[in-house]
Amino acid sequence: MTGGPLRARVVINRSNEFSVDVDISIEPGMVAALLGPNGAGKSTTVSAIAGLLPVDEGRIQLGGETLDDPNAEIFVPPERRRIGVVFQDYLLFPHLSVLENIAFGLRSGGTGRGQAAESAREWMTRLGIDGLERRMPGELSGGQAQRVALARALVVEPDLLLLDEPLSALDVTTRVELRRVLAEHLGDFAGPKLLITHDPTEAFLLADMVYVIESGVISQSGTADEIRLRPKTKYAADLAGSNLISGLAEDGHVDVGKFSLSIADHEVSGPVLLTIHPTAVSLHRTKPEGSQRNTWQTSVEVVERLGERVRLRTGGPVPLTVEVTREATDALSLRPGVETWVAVKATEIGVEEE
Amino acid sequence: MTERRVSRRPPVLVLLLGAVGLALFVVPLAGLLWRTPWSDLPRLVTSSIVTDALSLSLVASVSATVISVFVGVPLAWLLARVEFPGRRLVRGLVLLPLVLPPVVGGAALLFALGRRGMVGEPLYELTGLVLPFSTWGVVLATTFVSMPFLVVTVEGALRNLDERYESAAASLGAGRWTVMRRVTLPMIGPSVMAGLALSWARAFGEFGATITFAGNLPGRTQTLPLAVFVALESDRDVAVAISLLMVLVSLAVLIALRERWWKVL
Repeated sequence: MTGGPLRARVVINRSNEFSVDVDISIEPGMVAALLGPNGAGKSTTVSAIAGLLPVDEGRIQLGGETLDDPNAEIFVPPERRRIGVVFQDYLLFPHLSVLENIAFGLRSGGTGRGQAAESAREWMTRLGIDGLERRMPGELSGGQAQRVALARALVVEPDLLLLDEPLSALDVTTRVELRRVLAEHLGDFAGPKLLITHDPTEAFLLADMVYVIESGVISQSGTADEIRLRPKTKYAADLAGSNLISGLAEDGHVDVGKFSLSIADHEVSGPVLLTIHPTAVSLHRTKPEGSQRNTWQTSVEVVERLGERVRLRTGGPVPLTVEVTREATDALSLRPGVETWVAVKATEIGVEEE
Repeated sequence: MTERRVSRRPPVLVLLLGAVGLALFVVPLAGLLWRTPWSDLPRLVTSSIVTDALSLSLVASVSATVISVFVGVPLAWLLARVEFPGRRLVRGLVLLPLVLPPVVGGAALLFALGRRGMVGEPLYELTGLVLPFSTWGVVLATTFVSMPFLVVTVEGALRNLDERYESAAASLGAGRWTVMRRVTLPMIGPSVMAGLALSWARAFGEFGATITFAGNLPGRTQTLPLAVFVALESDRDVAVAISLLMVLVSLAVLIALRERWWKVL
């Protein structure tokens, strides 16, 4: 019974102040992200899907099997749900070795010691952590711990993979590397995948579909681009914030499709991820002068008011989300279809090696 | 030139008071060693009064500890994990023997489980079992006094354990018993051992509740502490020998448990 979709409507009423009502649907092989600030109800939703918290209303179905439905009086306890969870901080059992941690699920399911150890070893090889069998979790680096946690969740061949803030325990440098490792291994898993995160970069890069959760409800859902281009709430607009552009760096320039952007870093080369904050972009009626600037001419595609500020979407060669003041919009009479010059300082472009 | 350095010398007053505190432990021990009839020692500790009391003390304290594990750990788990009305009251009742004078505990046991007691009388009529003034009475009185140490330590450890580890185990397909056996108990293991050591030590030295509930019958209910008390009146050399024996047994336990378990306390 592998490969079915996840259909979850989770309603939990904790108190008058806090309740959760979300609807999430993930097809096999797809990665959905549940993206939201702390206290929005992400953990509650995860607990409900994992079976650690029964829903008050709604229904959770995985691959056609109902796991939780208060109306039908169905509740499958967590140990009988085929859901692999990679927990925040990983929660590797500190008293068990790496091999015992990974074999834990199989042993609990009644697999014999030798067979469980063999399967655990296979997964360790697949995730590139062989040789660590006898280490204790306290002796692992963040990256190794993440892979052990992933192996521990995957070895029981679950029908759904839940990843609860899998990168938040890591420092920035490790995070970039492990995001790539994670992306690679997520691709191998055939079932639906749900990534819980408060980091928009993580959600936009890893997920096919993003659910934005605010105050217990889904305020917007769609592909990463849909949310970035047409954020519906202030929170979504803020987190959609930075423009993410991937390209190839060489000698202070990054090729992004038909255009080449100057960056401040002349050392970096190879595939990179560029971030440009919408407020770092300026718009001009005529070609702006000045050194260290990237400029190009394009047209305004979308204009959206956000209080005193205005968010615009510009067209090719490098489509950007731009945030300017209302005065600037009025002065330049920026409307959809109007031609404009875009300027971005090289020093305002964030560069991350991929 | 003055050296800029933080003084490493402790304040004189603290040093003096600390020394007095230490003397309080060392002087009696030294007195015991000074009074020990070393040449006569082998004969004294092998006398039947001493060996009987020693074996009874070991049997009673180990039994009490074993009983404490079987009922005390589940009790600690209930107190730590299950919310029920009156939980604070129950916790208070469990802790009471820690502060209650042991003699009062013994008297209470007598009123409840004595031959004419509330539970003791029907028990006797049904089974013919008489608890007071029997070895079982010693075990019971000892358990009453020592089990709270285990319950308190284990409950504290369960409260400090991150329950998410148990959730992680459940998500990997482990049922409640498997979680308990492979995650919960191993993770609180060091605290359980420390609680065991504390509770055993308290059981080994038990006096008040035992003499009140089980009496002082040599060979049946006379434990080492009771034997010391009696010998002080009759044969001081025996009292010293037994005391030395208890010091040695306690010290052996302390040394065996050092580092590994004491640091969790």
